[in-house]
Amino acid sequence: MDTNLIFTLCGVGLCGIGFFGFIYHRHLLRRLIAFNLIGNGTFLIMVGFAQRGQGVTDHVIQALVLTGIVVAVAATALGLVLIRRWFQLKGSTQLPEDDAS
Amino acid sequence: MNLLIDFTLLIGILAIALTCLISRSLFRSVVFFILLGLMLAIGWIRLGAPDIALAEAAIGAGITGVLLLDTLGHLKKTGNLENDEPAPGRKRLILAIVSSFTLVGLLLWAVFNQPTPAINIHLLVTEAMPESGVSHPITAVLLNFRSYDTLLEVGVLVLAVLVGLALQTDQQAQDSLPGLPNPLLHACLTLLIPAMLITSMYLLWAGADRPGGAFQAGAMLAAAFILLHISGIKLSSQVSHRMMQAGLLLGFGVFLAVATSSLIGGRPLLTYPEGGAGMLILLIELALTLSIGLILLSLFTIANSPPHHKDQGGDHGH
Amino acid sequence: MNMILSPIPWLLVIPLAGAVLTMLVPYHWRSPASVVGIFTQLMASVVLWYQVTHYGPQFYAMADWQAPLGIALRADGLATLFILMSSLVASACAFYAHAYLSLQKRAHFWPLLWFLWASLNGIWLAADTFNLYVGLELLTFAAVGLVAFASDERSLEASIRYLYAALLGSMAYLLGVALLYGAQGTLSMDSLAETWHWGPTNQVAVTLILGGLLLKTAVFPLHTWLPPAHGGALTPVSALLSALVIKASFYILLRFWIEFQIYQFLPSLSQLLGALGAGAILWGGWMALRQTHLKMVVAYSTVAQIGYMTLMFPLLVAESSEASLLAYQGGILMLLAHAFAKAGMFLAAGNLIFCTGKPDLVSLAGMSRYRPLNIFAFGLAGVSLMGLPPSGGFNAKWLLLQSSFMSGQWWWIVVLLLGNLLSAAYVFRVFAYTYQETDALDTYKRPKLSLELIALGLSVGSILLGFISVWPLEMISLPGPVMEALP
Repeated sequence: MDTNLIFTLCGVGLCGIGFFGFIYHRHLLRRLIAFNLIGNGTFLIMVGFAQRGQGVTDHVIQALVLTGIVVAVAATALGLVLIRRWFQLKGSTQLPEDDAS
Repeated sequence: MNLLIDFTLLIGILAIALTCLISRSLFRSVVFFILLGLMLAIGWIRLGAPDIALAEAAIGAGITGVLLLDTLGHLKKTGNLENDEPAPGRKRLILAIVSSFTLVGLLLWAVFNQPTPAINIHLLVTEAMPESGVSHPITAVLLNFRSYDTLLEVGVLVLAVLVGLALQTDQQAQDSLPGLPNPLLHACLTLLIPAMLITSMYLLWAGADRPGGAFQAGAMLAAAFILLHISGIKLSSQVSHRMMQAGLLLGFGVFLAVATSSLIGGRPLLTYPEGGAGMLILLIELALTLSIGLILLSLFTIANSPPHHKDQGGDHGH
Repeated sequence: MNMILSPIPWLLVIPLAGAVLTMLVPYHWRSPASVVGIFTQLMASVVLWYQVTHYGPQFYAMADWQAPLGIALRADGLATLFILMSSLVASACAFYAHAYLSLQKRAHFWPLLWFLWASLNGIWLAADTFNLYVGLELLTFAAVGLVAFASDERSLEASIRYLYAALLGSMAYLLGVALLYGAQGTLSMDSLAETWHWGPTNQVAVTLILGGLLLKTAVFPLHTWLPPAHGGALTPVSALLSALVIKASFYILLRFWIEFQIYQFLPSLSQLLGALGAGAILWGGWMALRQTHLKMVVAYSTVAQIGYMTLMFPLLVAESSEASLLAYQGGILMLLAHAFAKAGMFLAAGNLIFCTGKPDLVSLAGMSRYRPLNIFAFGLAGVSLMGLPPSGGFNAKWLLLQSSFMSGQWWWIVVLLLGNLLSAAYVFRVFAYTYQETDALDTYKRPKLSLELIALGLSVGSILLGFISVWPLEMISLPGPVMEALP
């Protein structure tokens, strides 16, 4: 067991936990946190899995993860802007349940 | 010994993530989320990725954490924080458990059957490094080999601010966040802010040959801006609206201009002239740092500003 | 060929520069600046079309770094056709928006539109899996912003739903890309195809990418975010979303499916996709029949039409190259016809709602007498959606039918025919409301003539496509990575 594999598995775990939270919760903020957990898990898998295959430090995938982190923070910020408007308009922290879809 | 650290981190990270999700208190969830970011930063060091560690600590844990905490504060003020939410139903729980286990199972299957990659990009990177104009491979990938991705990524950041602005009213929205009139805080700030600015510039400069670069430096700059903002020194009231917009767009604009200038010389988009790569990359990074700092600050303040004209009264009512 | 003459970089630089410019200049300058941008975009698309048809597919190495290390762009026949399609439809929607929105709204619309356009062009041209991820995120943000900026309660709810679905979809896609990179060490689509290796890792990667893209395309049963978002947005935005935005993730899926020859190795997955498509056709059609709001009818019709496009996947079979080619052509033609017909239909619906001032079907009574031009535009778009001859929709369905016969998959024929009945039913139901006579005099508002003409133009385009179908079909049959990978 090397470091790369351990953190790949850590990423798999984070994705699983985050995915669970994303589906289970209805609170919009909690779902956004869950999304960030999936994101972090994905980033760990990206680097850990690639470096496990290559056997060396892989700068390309590390650069991609940097891009990914910035995109994720932008997504979180955009989500928060929308969620806050929703709180202000409706005073509710979740979306109404679908009746028919 | 190292393996022991890795396993401790593995268990710690997963335990914190789980606590973060199932904690009844939303405040605790956010705190655990920030803690998770810091643990991950250590993990990134173990993976040989100090650049990501810096970014994770500054952006992933820092900026995201501040944004989340600020939203919590807002919820508390409007009395929505401990809104007892009905627990999601059993059907949802079963669906969530089944899908999450399926995902984990699939991923484990994929991970343990990894073939040996046929292509090794890192060899190509090593080969091309002398022509890249910088000596830090990650900066070379971000701003030379795959600069197109980075250009679009800065576009994503600008776009996030743009959407925020489009949802705002046009009257200069005043900030609902009062400054903290704390003399001790101000005294600390006079020490902290210069230190943060210097760190930011150092990170920017270091990016050429060591871990660091525009994104980390920009996040540090944003942290300084946000601290100033919280303590009551509003950047947005110091400079005009138009100046602010120009600052937001500076990085993207300079990047795009440099990218397009190569077309005039008949070379593909984003190509740097021979020998000028290092200088141009530094120029782009400098502009990006300032813009990223301002963009992250704006994302923080946009979320803070009061809602549309319709219900402006409601927010200040209590 | 000289690099400076290649239109490929300009297709990206112009919209990105347009976004920066329209954010900076004062409000009343934003429309004129955008009009200039729109014309240069159209010009660049036409130049690209000329170059591709005369000199074959074009490749472009960004920053002069060749593919596995750098990012390559590809303009083959398929990409060029999509660039032309998005340029035409987006220009029409942009001119509509210019006449439809207030100065305030317009000021925010332009930069969002330019970002949307840049990301669309980026996706059509991309040949790099991670670059596609960034492009998808750019597209998502622009689209969510466009939905949200109507800034009422409904559109806000729709945009949150949309954002959450889209973010999950992109993350699944990224996870798949990470697995592919770990297994093969490359991000470039061409080198991935060369070194493709059907191990468990790639199968899981394909599953994740498929799931993410299906969610983003709103394929049944992952479609629930679509009707509120497309039905609740402002009219020109609805048209853009239905006509172009969902096509982006579908396009990526199609490229993966064919270029990596997924159809050959996972035929059961093809059948599953076909079943989802059938579900979409029937469920979307049924739900469209039950809506009480005009724009929701049109939005659910999009759900059904996505189903027709998805039917292309089970018909791409390795055994019969002829059936596969027909399915590929039918699917693309379907997509093209839908882009024009749905944009026209949404804009016509928006005009009708503007006339009556109410969003529901019941208030349409008398419209066919007082606003015949709009009803005509709506009807022409309906003809193409129903697949009546002569129209692009008819030719597309005909090709799909032939392909089903040829590959012996008769069950899809049943679905196609049932779907046609449902589409006819929901289009005629709208008509029935407009033909109801009222005693009321013509007190309705009158939209600007330009608004009516743009809607009509797009609908006519979807009919015209029935006469010139050969032309796009020749275009996508030009040699290129997709044609090489077809059986």
